[in-house]
Amino acid sequence: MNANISARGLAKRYGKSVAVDRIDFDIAPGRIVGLIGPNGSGKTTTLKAILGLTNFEGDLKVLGFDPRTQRDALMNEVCFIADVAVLPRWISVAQAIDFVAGVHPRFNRKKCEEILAHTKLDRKMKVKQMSKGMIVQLHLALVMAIDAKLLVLDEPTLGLDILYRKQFYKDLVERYFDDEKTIIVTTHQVEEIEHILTDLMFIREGKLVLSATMDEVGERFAEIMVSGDKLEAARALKPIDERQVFGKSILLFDGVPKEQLAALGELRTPGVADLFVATMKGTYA
Amino acid sequence: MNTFPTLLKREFWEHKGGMLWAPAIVGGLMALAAGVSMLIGLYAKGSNIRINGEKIIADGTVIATQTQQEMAQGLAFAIVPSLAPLAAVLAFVVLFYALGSLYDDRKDRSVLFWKSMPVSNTATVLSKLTSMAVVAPLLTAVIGSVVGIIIALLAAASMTAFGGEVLPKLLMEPDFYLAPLGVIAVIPVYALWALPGIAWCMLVSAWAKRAPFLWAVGAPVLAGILLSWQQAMFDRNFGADWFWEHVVGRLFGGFVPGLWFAFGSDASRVDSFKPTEESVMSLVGHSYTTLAAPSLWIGLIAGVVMIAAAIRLRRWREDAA
Repeated sequence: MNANISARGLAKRYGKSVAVDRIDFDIAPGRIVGLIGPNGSGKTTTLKAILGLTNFEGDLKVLGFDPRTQRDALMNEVCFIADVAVLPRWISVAQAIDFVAGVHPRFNRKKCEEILAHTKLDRKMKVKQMSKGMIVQLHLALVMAIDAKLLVLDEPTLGLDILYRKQFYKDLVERYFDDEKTIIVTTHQVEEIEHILTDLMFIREGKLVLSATMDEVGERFAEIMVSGDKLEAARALKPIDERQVFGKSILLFDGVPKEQLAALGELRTPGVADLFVATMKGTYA
Repeated sequence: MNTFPTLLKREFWEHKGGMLWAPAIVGGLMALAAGVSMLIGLYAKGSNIRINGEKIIADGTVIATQTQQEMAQGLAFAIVPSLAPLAAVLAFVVLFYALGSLYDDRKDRSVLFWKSMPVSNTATVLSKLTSMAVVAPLLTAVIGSVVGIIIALLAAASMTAFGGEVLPKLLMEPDFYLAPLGVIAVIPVYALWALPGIAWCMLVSAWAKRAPFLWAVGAPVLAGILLSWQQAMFDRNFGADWFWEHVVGRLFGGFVPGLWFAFGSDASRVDSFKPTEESVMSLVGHSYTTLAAPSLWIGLIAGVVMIAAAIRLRRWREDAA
């Protein structure tokens, strides 16, 4: 596999606490990977390692570069939105465009202006006059006009209302993504991105507990809605999670054949959010 | 793509207030104040103007041509020292610029945006250094030259209002035209003397988790006080005087243009300088002579080391402040 990102034994310690615990993964071009984990699970540290913003142990190659020693070259090919509203408050729309055009070899000014034409932002507006949603629109317009091979989004829509959030992911898929590019995204609003993801990575206490394509996830996991009389039979198959909805039980299974489950109740594909909750059970306990 | 000029533009956008508006406003006020006081002077004692105790016009009679000549020379030369308020503004602007340079964007987390661009930390830090050591002084020098010329013209015009030829003589003075060039010519001298102080403040700015001002100013001053106190307590020389002069004095004195005469070797001090006999250009010459002082070069080496350390901190300092 011609991996865009390849990690072997990636680890990071802050003093005695282990943020990332020797993880391995590969990410191919043309994928949209959801890196999902509870607070403090090592998501952001992993992303920081990929972006050369932190030191780490182990091997990590991003687009063939070592982010520790070749960050300057790497940044020509990589872009990221680290957090909402991190654009400098004093900058205006026109200045932000001029700046990126002045320093980035892969920036397309025309594309950026086209994207901005669909927003209410005008060239003279300064970041300090913008709402959080508008700042993200500007940031996304700048980033989408950069033809980067890897785009990293760390909680890009935190604190935005649902209209901005939907628009954000819509723009990303329709105007930016293609099969040469890789996008890694972390978010707590899993439901909103599951339809655009191609790959899923669950991280818990610094370890990857799940790393699979969405197709694999669909094959491996299944949910059935069971009525009372068949509940015991279903429980015997060792569900990884069980919850009650309208007096019926919904059981989530990992790796149990679908035909076997279909006999016990209504078969469904589980949502990423339910899968996440089941996988992360007991994290804060 | 044009990375370094873009970075300098970026610095100017962010610091327009300090680099342009502060000197422009102070300069404007200086010219206004000069204009108003000339008018008041003319009105109050039009027939008896004295400058430095010399009568320009006594009872309607114009003083000697030789004295007028000296007046014109003095006015032309005075363009440079008349810019002292602007020098003070520059010192404050650059000091606070340096203290915030690698701290403010960590505090508001916009450092993550800057770091998402393909700009090396070396280029970022050097662009900020260049902006402080060269661009800001250059803007102040240009504004100052205009203000100095206006003030000299106003003074000469008010003297000439009742006769005499101070204004035409001023226009014949080489210094009148050389002063602006001289002010711009000493910018490299400023940059070299200011570098250690700027580098120190940038280093603290890259390192501090909070309150870079307290660390940058407080730490050396506290160290000096402790040394002086020990010295007084034990009645022995711990080098407190040396520390105050060569560390604290150099770090913060370097921000003030012209203070290099105090740091340079004794030979280049301008105590014996006579405005009427020497040109502005010899003041420039004296400024460049101070570059021979070994303490300048020791300071420069320290400055380069501190800049290198600031670049490294900028690269690896993880969390926003």
